[in-house]
Amino acid sequence: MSMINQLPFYVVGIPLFTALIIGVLAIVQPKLVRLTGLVGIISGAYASLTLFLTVQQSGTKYYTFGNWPAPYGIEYSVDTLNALMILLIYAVSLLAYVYSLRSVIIEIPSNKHGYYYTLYFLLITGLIGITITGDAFNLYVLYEICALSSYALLASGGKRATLATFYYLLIGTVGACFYLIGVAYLFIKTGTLNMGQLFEHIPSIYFTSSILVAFIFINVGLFIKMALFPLHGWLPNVYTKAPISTTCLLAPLGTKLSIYILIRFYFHVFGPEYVFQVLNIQPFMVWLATLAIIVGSVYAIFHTNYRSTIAFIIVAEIGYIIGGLWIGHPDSIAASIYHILADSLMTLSLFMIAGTVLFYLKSEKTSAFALTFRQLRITSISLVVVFASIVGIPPTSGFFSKMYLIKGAFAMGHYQFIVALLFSSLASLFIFFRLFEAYFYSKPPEPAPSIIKEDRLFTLPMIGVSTGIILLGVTFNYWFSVISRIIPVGLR
Amino acid sequence: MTNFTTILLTICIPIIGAFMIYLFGKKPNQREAASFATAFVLFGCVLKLFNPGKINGQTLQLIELFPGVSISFFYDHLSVVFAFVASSLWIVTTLYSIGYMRGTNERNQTRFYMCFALALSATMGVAFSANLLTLYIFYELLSISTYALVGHQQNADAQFGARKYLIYLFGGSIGLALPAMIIIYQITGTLDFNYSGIVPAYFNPTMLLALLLMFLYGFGKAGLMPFHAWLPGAMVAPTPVSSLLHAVAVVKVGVFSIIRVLTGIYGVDLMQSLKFNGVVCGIAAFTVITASLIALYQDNLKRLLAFSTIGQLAYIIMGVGLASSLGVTGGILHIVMHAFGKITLFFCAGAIYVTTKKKYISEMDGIGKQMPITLSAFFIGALSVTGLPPTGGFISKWMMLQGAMDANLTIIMIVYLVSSLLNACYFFPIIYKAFFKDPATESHGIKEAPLNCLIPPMITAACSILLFFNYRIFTTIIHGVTGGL
Amino acid sequence: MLLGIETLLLILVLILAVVSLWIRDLMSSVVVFGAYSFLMCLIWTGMGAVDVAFTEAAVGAGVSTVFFVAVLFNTTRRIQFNPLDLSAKIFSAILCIGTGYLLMLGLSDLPSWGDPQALVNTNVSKYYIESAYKQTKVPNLVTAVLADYRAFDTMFETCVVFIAVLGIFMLLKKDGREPLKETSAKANDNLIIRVASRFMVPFIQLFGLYVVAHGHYSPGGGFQGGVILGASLILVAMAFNIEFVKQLLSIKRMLLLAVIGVIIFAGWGLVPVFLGQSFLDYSAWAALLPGTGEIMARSHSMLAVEIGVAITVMCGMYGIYMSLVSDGRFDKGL
Repeated sequence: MSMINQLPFYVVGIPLFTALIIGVLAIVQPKLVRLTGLVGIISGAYASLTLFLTVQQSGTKYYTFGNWPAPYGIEYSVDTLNALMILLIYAVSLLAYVYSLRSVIIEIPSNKHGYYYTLYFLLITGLIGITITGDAFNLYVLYEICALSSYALLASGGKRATLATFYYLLIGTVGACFYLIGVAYLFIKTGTLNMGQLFEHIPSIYFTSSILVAFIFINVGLFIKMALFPLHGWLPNVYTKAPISTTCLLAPLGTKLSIYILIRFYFHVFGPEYVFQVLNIQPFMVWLATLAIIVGSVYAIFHTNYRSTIAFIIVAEIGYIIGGLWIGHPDSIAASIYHILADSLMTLSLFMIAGTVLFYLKSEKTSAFALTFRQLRITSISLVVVFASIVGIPPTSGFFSKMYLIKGAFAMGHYQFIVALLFSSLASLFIFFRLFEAYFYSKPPEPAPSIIKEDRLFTLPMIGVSTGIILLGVTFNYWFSVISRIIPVGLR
Repeated sequence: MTNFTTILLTICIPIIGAFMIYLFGKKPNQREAASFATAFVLFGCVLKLFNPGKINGQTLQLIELFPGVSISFFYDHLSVVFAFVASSLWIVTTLYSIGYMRGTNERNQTRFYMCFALALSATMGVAFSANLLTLYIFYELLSISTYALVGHQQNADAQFGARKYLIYLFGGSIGLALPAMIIIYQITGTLDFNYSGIVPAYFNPTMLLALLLMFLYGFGKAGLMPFHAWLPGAMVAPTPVSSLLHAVAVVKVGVFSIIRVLTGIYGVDLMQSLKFNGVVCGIAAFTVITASLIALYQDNLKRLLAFSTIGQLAYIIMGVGLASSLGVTGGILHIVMHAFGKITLFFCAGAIYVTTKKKYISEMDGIGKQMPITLSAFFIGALSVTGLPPTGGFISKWMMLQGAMDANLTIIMIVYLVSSLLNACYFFPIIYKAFFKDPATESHGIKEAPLNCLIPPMITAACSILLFFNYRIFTTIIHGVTGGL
Repeated sequence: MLLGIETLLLILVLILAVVSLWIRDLMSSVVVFGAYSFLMCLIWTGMGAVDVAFTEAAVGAGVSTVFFVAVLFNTTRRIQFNPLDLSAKIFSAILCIGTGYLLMLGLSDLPSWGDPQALVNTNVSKYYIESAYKQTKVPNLVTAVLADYRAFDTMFETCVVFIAVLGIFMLLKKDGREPLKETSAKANDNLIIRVASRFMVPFIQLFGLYVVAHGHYSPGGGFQGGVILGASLILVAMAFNIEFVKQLLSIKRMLLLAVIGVIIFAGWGLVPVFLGQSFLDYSAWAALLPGTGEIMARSHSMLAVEIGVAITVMCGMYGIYMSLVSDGRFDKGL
């Protein structure tokens, strides 16, 4: 089997073995931990890029474990959708990892770094494993890997983080359990766990109540995990208290991957025909997303603590994606998938900024930003870029997703969704200028604060992600053409 | 050098200039020299384009952002006229800024000049945009770069004014213009300007009307009532900003965008067949009269000028909204004439402030005896804005009147006349007070503004008079626009 | 007849579940919960899922009860009454009933138990029953499915255990800065228990090894065996003290072994990749193990990975217990 054919394994295997090697090194030779991680993540990123390009060229790639044919063994099937997501995961984790090299030193006691990074890489493994797999139960196992390692990583930020994570653990477990129940019902009805085979069997049982129950359980479970309003209660608490090193990795990807699973199940397990035609819940779901956007934005305005604000911005952004998906117009679905990419980068940038502000200025209140703009150059530039994207100023990526969401919503007549989108744009504009005014109209402190030179391990990823946000926007045409191929024929 | 290179240069030069200004930030003389040089080079570039024979309507596509829409530029008669006005007045304003900023000892001057240059770059971008999206991008850039200028004083007043500025401009552009643009794209699949219009005539007229209103109010820089309150609020900015940006560049970008939508997206034929020009004229007429009435009661000179600007902008929209050849010509010509007239007025207001620290009209009794040259320039500017000969404003207003007659809209004619009368009512008392009333305090003889603040209004006032005689420079170019109608 | 017993068991399970929530004393609640697990274990057996029952007995009823006790030892066994709890309880009760209702709703058109025509019994399961022995020479189908057909899942389940122990260790581990807390437990000097456990531990461990090794032929395998081995260490820790058991298996070595267990599994699967086959394709080992065909290579490989699983699970159970009972200080405990 050639290297190219092994690629689907490599993208999962590299972080897995990196984690295991770090696990050994943590005990035997802790000095090598960080270097090993860097090598692992870069080689993984390279593999994912190659995989993406290969899939673009030669179509879906399959990989069977243990050489057992598809429904009997576990199969990976890499199409454009998950190749794209894997690329995203690697891009985000590479930047987050570089950032964490410095932030971990600040946040985590030095004797725990090795264990921290072991869990870090297992989390990455889990995230990729979820994305790449073509087996509904394998997905659950990897979901557990993700969940458990993220609990540990999130809780490692002190007592308050531990308590917040404990609540998350309770709620998250219910979410995962619901997913499992849903998959179990599907298994009893079809006798298979392979997504491809599920897709073949499901049309024959469209009108049974068990598939409906399975659909509801899988959806609700994933809604909990992705923090869709009104199931978002756990998210702000966790993301505001957990260590930045963890949230930089998890906040951009955690919720988005649950959305990815949802998309995978809609398109390739239940099938668009069942989701959008047999079930008649489109208007309800779009309204729910609309509410999510509005509630998220309103809460974001009312919170003055920076990380709480951005946590609620995430809640609103989830509403964007879910709304776009359920509108069911090809443009809006493409925009949703594109927004997964854009929003991951934006969230990453937001949390990196939170980190530098917190580390250098020891506060994350609005007033801290008076000094941020004066003292932290790169941080403030990133802040401007990321908010331009959240508000939707062209040519940043946020503009294009919003544009196509509105376009799709208009075509399908969901005007309330358009209003909510614009409202949230203006709300985020308000939030930005609240931060900016704290600087612009405050008296400079005496003596004039000097410019702090941010650590290069902070600035590099911040510059990287800001460039990414803009590049993603400028090259929208390319991504749009890639994503258009993902949307199933029935929806085009 | 092709024309497209020149277009790109007009956008890039101010950015390079801003960078130079930043580099020379510590040395005021070199910094301002850089600012000057940039203004001159920019003007040179625009002048190169200012040639009716060369205009050919080709577009330059830079990057395709999504199917059918790219960042692209072109230049037609309208953009050339607009770019010419903005770039030529920038030179004068730079001279004026130096005098004003040094005279009032403003802080953060480097930031001021930089933002100014960036605002000009965005203005050029708007002028040469070939589609609505490109226009929108530069429109937003302009809002951002002028935000810092409006809040320049960084005190509570400035914060209030800047906040208002932000809410109105971004609220309009994001809340109304953006969705309208996206819906247009959804309907037509393109956003390129085209003189025959891109909106299909068979589309639901109610929706089209709603979209039109979204555009009219979304491009809030045009200051149509009731979305005008940001402009008086923005007068907290230093006077050079008010004069170039809030009498010429920014507000006229708003008007320009609306003209582009009316002529390039809807197209004149559709406007007429659906009777939308009546709606546009109605809104504009309402704004004209109301703004003039409000201006009557203003005591703060800059606020008065701001309301006068609101009225005059609506004039232009009304002229274009008439959708008759003369009306459009007059409207576009009024962009030029009003620019020269109003900038003179602002320059004078600033000069008075620099010399005497007086802001209110009630304090200005007898000031004409103290500053005869400034107030003479003010007089000429007022004549031009009111529309009396021998100033350029007369020509444009005359054409618009004729346009209204051609279109058989007597009401609009009456609006034009009444508002001109009102203009006179709020300008001439100032001049009367300045020259003929005795000053409240002892007069100290002639004490003019510093030379830097004095020369620019003289130049622009002279231009206003010159334009009366030489308006054909512009009308020949503008005929390129109206010839297509 | 059997149906009657099952109904009885289900009712009992339900009662125990409610009771364990009802009791205010957490220690009693934990004990009731243990009983609940044992009854579940009987139900699994009744349904023919002996391997699941075995795991439930070892993990659900056995070790997790011990973990609960260890946690209570370091916290408290009494619940403070909080008026907010009532509304939270009512809310969760409504959610539970709603969930239950939905589940029942879906139940109505599920195939009946053991229906030979149903897809669940004719699709993948049928293939396993017909060809697992032919392809792997492992009579215990469950082991074949877990350790070969779906070995990839099992590998990650092993990872889950590893993550659990590492996570708990990392969260609870004290930096050494915090002062030692005097625990109420006095040094354990019960002679009878010590002698009895000294006598029992070797047999427990022997049984654990048997379960690991005999997973091919009878219920059992790495997970269950590992849990039993871990339980033997826990017993030592409880009967003697933590210092003593640390001499047998230090915390560092425990963590190292836990990783190594996963590495054995994953590494065994990685070798076929280097031989040009897909990950976990045991048949490629035929080239390395002298005198085995592809089928026997599969069979032997399963033993190898089960050993890896057992090591990780043993260390996992031991490590979790040690962290919990000593509150991350690893000095004294039950």
